[in-house]
Amino acid sequence: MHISTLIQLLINGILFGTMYGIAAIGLSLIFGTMQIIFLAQGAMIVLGAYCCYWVFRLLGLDPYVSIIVVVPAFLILGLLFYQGLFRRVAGSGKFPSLLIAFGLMALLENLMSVLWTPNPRAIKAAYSSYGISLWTMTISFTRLMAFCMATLATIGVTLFLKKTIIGKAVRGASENLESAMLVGITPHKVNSITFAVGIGLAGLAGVATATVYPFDPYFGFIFSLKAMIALALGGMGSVAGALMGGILLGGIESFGSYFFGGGWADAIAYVVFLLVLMFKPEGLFVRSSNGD
Amino acid sequence: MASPLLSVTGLNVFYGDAQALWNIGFSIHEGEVFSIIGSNGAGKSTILRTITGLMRPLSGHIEFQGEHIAGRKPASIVERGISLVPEGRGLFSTMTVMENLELGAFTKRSRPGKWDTLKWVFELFPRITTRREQLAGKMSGGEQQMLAIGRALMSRPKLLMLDEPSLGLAPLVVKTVFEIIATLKAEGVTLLLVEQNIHQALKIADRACVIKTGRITMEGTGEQLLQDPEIQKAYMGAMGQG
Amino acid sequence: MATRERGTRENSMKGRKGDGRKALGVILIGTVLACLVPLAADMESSYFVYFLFLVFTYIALAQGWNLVAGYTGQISLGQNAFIGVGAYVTAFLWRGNLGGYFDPLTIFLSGLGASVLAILVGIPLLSKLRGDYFALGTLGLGEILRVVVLQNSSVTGGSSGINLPSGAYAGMAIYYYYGLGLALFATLVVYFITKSRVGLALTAVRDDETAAAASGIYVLKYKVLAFAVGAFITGLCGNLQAYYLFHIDAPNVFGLNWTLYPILFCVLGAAGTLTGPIVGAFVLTAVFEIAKIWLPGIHPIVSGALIILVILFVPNGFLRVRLRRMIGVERGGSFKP
Repeated sequence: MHISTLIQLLINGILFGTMYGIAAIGLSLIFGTMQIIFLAQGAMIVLGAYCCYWVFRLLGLDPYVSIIVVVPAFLILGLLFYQGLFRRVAGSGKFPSLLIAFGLMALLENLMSVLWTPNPRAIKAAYSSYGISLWTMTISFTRLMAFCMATLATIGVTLFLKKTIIGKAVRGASENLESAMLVGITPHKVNSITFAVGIGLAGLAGVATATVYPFDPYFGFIFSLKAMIALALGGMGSVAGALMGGILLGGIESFGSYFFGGGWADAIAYVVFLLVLMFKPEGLFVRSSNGD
Repeated sequence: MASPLLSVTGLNVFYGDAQALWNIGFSIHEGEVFSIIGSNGAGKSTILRTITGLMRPLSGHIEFQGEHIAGRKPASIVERGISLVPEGRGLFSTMTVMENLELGAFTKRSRPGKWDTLKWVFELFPRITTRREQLAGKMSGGEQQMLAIGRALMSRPKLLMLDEPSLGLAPLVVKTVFEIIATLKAEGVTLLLVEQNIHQALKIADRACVIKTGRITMEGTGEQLLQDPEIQKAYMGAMGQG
Repeated sequence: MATRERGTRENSMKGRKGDGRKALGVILIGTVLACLVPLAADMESSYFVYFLFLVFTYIALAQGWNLVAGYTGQISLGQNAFIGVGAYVTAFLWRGNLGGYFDPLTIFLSGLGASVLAILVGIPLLSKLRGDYFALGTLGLGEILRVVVLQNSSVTGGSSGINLPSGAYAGMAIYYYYGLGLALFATLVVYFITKSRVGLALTAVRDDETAAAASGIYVLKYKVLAFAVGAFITGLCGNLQAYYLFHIDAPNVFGLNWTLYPILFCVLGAAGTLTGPIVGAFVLTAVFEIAKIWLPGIHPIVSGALIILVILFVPNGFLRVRLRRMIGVERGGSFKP
């Protein structure tokens, strides 16, 4: 076993794992304010991938350029989804929202399947198979770009949360909703913002996915699971934690794929997920106040 | 006599099917300190939570500066100028002192003068000025209480409500807290105080009332209630409490 | 104040529309009527018979979820796992000549297999207070099983699945009556459990888990029990599927529909009641069948949309009251967005 192969696997895993991390950050934000696991996150990512794909096919717009279109569109979409679907049930506890997210996931996946056929799509751009050589290793260009996008997005979200007053309001509301209300923060406002950002991040992850490998409508469910696994592994309610969890998952997948084949890699990831949930979920769903 | 700043009449509040407040009524005038005293579970916190909009009364009226506010959402009530320092402080413990205070000035009304207000709060609470970047959760009980009051002041309230500010604090710290309350009174802030510490609460109050199992049983000035033999017997036990 | 509270709790446990003797009576009458249908219809070609068979299966499926979610307040998103287990156990036993067509032992073991899985997974998942863990864990469960089955194609037939001896087919009648029996069985199980001490404990757990635990109810035991029984019934549905289709494969038996449908039926028909899922199953199966004719291929979209619409718009008295009770929204409603 050549050491460079191992390092190559590691790097590939880390690079793409950051994308899971991005999806997980979105989940974490939504969870922080609305206390629901947004199951349809994966479906949103696939939708983002399709948008990127169609913009590429029909308008010839380079995927990386299309980020300028896709992400804002998804931010707005997130706002609309919140206002239309979740606002009404936001006060009724977790389960109505959970079920709506579930319904949305089923709806979107099948809608995309019907609209655009279940056949896998892939973006073949000039640089799709481009690799950067480093010693004896080849680093895929698209994966490297995905990594860059993820890193920038993480920095962006962190700055938003730490430096802007709205970001601070989001953090406050995530920790203690009642106190947030007492200083004049409206729950609906923070909910819609985190939802919008969460979906926007999903759009970004979608673009990354579209550039890195072929996708089909049913990826959504798997992606949601992967994002949740990343969140669980990360074990922290923080942005950095979600990213770390994604990277860890990317690593598990990368090595698992190589040694056991793609199918088993998935199974391993799911088993890890189940185990974490069963025996060490505290890291994932920690809420200091407003707990059960 | 000028009309009261806050006027509560006929308030009935339920927790699910269980009634917590029966026909509560009182009024507070601008500039005064009004104390509500009573033992644990009597309903004191419920009154504050209802005024601030966290709970909705089944019936009754709450009028603030001539406007009906019962049943409105908390954000709009804070915007109108009522601020609550909740029981247990309710700080954002994973955020710094500075961030907590900043969030205190979230309302539209308080944003313009934010930095001036901040200066004022720092003058009132020099202890926390030096700890600006410290995490709120890592401070002592007394400091947290001061921060909580400071945060509530950031929204420039006309009426400041405090829910059991002395709870869980050492006697010396309690003394400091009440000194702060006295300072606020001197600065012209109208205060609604809910307390289990009878002696201090009545000493500082202009007017006060007693709550027992959800009903007001006594009303009067702070002095009157302090002297009342029933209160002395029921609540103060051995002399020299507080 | 204490007396009033207690009175309220008692009221919440009895006399809710859809529960109780009256509901049972209606169900039994319906069963009798259903038994008469084969006398009038041609079993093999009648669409109505097929439709009823579908509905019976779905009723059983719905009641399985109902027991866990409606009565215990735990949202399971992984019923498909149990369908799959039931189907594959059936296939293995039959192909291995240890079981057979409508063989009681095979049937029982299909359900048992699902229950065992439920217990294994349920104990750690249900011991956490947050229902989200459970929901997510069950979601992952179906997926894990599906992948494992696909990977071991030598044993499980992978994505092409396993074929079963279709020569055993001897007419629609047995499916119809068995289906009816299964639906009745599932409904009765729910009825008797809820009327028993177990049911009382379950309702207490659902209404206020902390209070229930404080009263000495061994919360975990009852949650797992409900989950396992629900899984058993669902496993039986999987077994029936295997018998009906004479072919099972992972994409089908682990399909998301098996998870979606019971939720939909219960949510529309009021989870936490006895007749609710039955009504839901009837109405929605009819809707889906019509949709299949007029708008083929899109009915999974319809399911998803329906879940959303029902939860958003169905007024109080249906879902909201049940779910509020399920999740124990803080009385007095402190969160008002």
